[in-house]
Amino acid sequence: MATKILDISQLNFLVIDDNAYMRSILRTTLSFLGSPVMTEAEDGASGLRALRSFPVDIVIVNWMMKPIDGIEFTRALRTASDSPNPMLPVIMLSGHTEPSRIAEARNAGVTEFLSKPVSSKGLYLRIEEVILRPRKFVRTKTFCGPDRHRHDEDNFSGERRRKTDEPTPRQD
Amino acid sequence: MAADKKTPDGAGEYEVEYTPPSYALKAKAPRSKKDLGEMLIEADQGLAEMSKDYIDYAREDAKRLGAACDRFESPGEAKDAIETAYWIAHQMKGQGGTFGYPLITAVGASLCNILDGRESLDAVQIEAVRLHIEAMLLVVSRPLRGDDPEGAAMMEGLLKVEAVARRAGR
Repeated sequence: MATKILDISQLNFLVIDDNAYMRSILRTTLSFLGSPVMTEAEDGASGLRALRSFPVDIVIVNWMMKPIDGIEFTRALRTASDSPNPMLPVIMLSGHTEPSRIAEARNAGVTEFLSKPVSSKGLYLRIEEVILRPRKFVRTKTFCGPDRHRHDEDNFSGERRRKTDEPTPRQD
Repeated sequence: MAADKKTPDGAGEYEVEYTPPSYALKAKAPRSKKDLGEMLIEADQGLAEMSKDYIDYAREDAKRLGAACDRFESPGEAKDAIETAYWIAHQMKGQGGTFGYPLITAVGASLCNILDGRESLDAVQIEAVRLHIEAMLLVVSRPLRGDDPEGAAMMEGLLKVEAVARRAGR
């Protein structure tokens, strides 16, 4: 049976990108995917202002922008005391593809990462992931954002090495 | 909501707070009756329509790359010129493939690899950057999409140039 697309017509998207052409790409793609209305912002600062003015369900933000880039925007969203919605899903777009960069985005609190060039399928799959498989939100002294582990395996039988785990009993 | 944990030896406390996931968006976005595959085809067709205008933007970006390159050897301007060139190349890298010009993405990526993190360029690197910009100008003027032997041969050469440039100045 063919997969049916999620009806995202009732969701409000905020697109933050300093490139007008890229914003038009995303507007067109979201429109074809079923979301005809979106709010736009040119950089991280105006994106944060937009969040205070409009109801937003999902943010799509570009990494490289000036003066406030996508990473700084995400950190401010997650950790600022006056953040309008710290747990808002954030999909980051970037031409960076190196694992270290993806890790940096994840550690800043990004929910999903999409490498450019952007495809309509890639964008839709990230949106679907955010909607259907939300992760619990984690706050520590050094991290604030969606759980960086996608799976919570209660039946894991290996050694538990997270700092918050009880030590695995020795089996001598 | 909170789940503060003590360290195993009781000496300290981890401050870890968990909030369960919200399924509010799932309630707002049920499955429709529309086929996903068909919708993606329509979306791609929409992007293909937009690609007709993209090449004009790319030509302007390529000219701006050339203008930045002209400033690499100007006293006091190298760092800003390199940053500008990197920025433009990064944008082209991210956009080219979206609009059916993977060669623009490939040349942009190679150029980014040369420029990334640099505040100055030596003669070898400047020459390498010039070759990349000339290639980019050729790609956008023809235009070349990349699905032909000429594009493949060009990229093979540029990647060798990139490797030399990245080794230079170490």
